[in-house]
Amino acid sequence: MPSATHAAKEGTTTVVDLIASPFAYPFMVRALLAAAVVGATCAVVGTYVVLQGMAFFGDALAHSILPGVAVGYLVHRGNREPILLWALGTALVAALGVGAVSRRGRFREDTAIGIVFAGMFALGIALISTVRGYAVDLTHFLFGNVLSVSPTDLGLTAGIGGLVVLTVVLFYKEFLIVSFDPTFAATLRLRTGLFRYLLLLLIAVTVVIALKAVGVALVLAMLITPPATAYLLTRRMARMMALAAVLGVLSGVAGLYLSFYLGIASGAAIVLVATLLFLLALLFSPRRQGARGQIFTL
Amino acid sequence: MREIPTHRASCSDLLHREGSAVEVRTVSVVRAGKTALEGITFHLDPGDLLAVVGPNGAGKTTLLQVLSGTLPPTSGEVRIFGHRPARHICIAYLPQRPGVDFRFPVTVADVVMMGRTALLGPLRRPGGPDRERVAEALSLVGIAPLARRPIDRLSGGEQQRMFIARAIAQEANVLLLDEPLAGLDAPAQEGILELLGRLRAEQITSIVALHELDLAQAHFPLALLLNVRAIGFGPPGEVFTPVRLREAYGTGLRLFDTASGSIALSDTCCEGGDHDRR
Repeated sequence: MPSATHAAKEGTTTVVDLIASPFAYPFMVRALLAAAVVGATCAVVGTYVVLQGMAFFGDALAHSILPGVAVGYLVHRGNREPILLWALGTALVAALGVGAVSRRGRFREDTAIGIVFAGMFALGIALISTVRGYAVDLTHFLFGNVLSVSPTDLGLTAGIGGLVVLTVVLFYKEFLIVSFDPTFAATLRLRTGLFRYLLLLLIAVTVVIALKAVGVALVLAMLITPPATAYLLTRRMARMMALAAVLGVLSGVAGLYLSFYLGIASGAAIVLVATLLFLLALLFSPRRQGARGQIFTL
Repeated sequence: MREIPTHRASCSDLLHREGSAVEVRTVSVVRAGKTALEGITFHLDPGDLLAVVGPNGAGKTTLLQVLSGTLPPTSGEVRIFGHRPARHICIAYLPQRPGVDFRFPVTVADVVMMGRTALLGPLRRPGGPDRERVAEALSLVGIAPLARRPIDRLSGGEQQRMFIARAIAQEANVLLLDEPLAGLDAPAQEGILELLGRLRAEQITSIVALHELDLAQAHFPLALLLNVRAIGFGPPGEVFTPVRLREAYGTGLRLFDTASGSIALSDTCCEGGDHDRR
C-alpha cells in the first residue's frame, strides 16, 4: 500500500510544517518562549491566588500598574524597554499599598481594593491619553503584544519568572502552611506577615511579566484559569501546581499558534485556549461528582 | 531568668527542665475596654488534663489564645516549661472554628506533615523519619487508614483527630483545644475524650474548653470554672458545687434537686458571644 504510506507521510510533513513554520521568524520564537515562561510563572503563583480566593486582588493589582506604565511611557518616549521596570516599581508599591489597606480599614477589603484600583486605572488612562494617537499604545498595554517582545524583554521575563518560581519552590512548605492555616503558622512561630507580603510581591512581579503577553485586562485569566483547571483534575497541592504550569505553557504556546494562523489578537487567543481547557476539565473532571469540596458551582 | 536566645526551642529541650508544664500567674486581658479575663492563676504538671468550663463570654477562648502565645495578656504572665509561650513550638492550639478551608487540595497525611515543618526549619524537606512520625501520629489518634484521604471528605470527629495528630507530629507537649466536642455526635465525643486520656500517658498536657459540665465531671481529673475570674480550680467534684456554679452561671444555670442528686442545666449553646469575631 504505497499510496497510503505516502499520504500518511505527506500528512506528517504538513503538521510538522504547521508547527515549524512560525520558527522561521525570530520575533515568533521570542514570543513563544515569552508566552511559555509567562504561562508557567502565572500558573505557579496563581495556584495560591485560586486557593486563597485572591482573584479580585490579582485583577486589581494588574489594573493598578497602568499609571506606572503610563509614566514610563511618557518619560521614555519611543523606548519601550524601561517600561517594564516602571511597571515593576508600581506593582511593588501597589501590592504593599493594597496589603496595608486590606489589613485595617473602615471598609470591607474588596471595597477598599476596588476604590484604589479603579482610581489608579483611571489615572493611567488619563496619563496615556495626553499623548496624541494614544489609542494604539493603550491597546498594547491593555491587551498585550507578545509579538513585540525584544531580546532584552525576553531575558528579563525569563530571569524574573525563574526567580519567582524558585522562591515558591524554596519556601513551598512555609507558603503551604501560611495559606492553609494562618493560626497554626502563628503557633509554629512562622513569620506569617512576612510570607503574606512575600506572596503579594510574587503576585505583583508575576503580573508585570505577564503584561507584555496578555495585557492588563487579561492577566487575571493567566493567574487563575490554569490553576483552576488543575484543581479540577488533582487533589494534591504540588501536583496541582505542576499541572497548572503545564497547562499555562500549553495555553501560551497553543494560543500563539492560533494567533499566528487565524490572525487574532495574541493575548485573547492565549486566554481563550486556557478557558477552553478549563471547560474541558469541567466537563470531564472526576471531581465534578463530589458535591462537597467544590470551588466552582457551575 | 533569661529567655533562651534561640528563636524556636524544640520541645524536648524544654522537657528536661523540672517544674510545671503550664504556669499562669495573675493573667488579665482587657479587650476593647472590656475585661475578658481577670487575675487568673493556676499551674499544671506534665500530663495533666484540664477542662475549662464557664458560660458564654467567660473568657475560655481568650484564655486559650493567651496560653498559645497568639494573644499577649494585658498583665500577668504565662510560662510553658518555664518559657514564654511565644518563644517555642511546644504548644498546639486548635481553635473552635479552624480557620481552614477544607477545599484545599491536601490529604490528611499532608496536614499532619505540616506539624513537622517548624522542626525542619527553612529550606529543608521532610524525609523518611518525618514520614514515620506522621504515620505514628496517625495511628495514635486512630485514623491511620485515612492518611491518603482528601480533607474535604472527613467527618467532624475525623477532622479533630487529624489536627490532634498534627500536634503530635509537631511534638507538642501542651495541647489547647477549644470546644473540640462541639457539633460531634456522642460516639465521636467519646472517641475524642478517650484519645485525650491516652495522650496523658505520652506526658502531653491538655487544656480543653468545654460547655458540657457532665463530660467535664466524668472525663477530666481537673477543672477550671471560669467567668472572667477563676471561680474554682481543682478536681471537678470539688469545683462544681451549687454555690460556685451559680456564681459562674448566674441566672443562666438552673439547679434541680432530684432523688438521685442535683442536676445542673446550663446554657450549652456554643454559638454565643464567647468567640471573638473580629
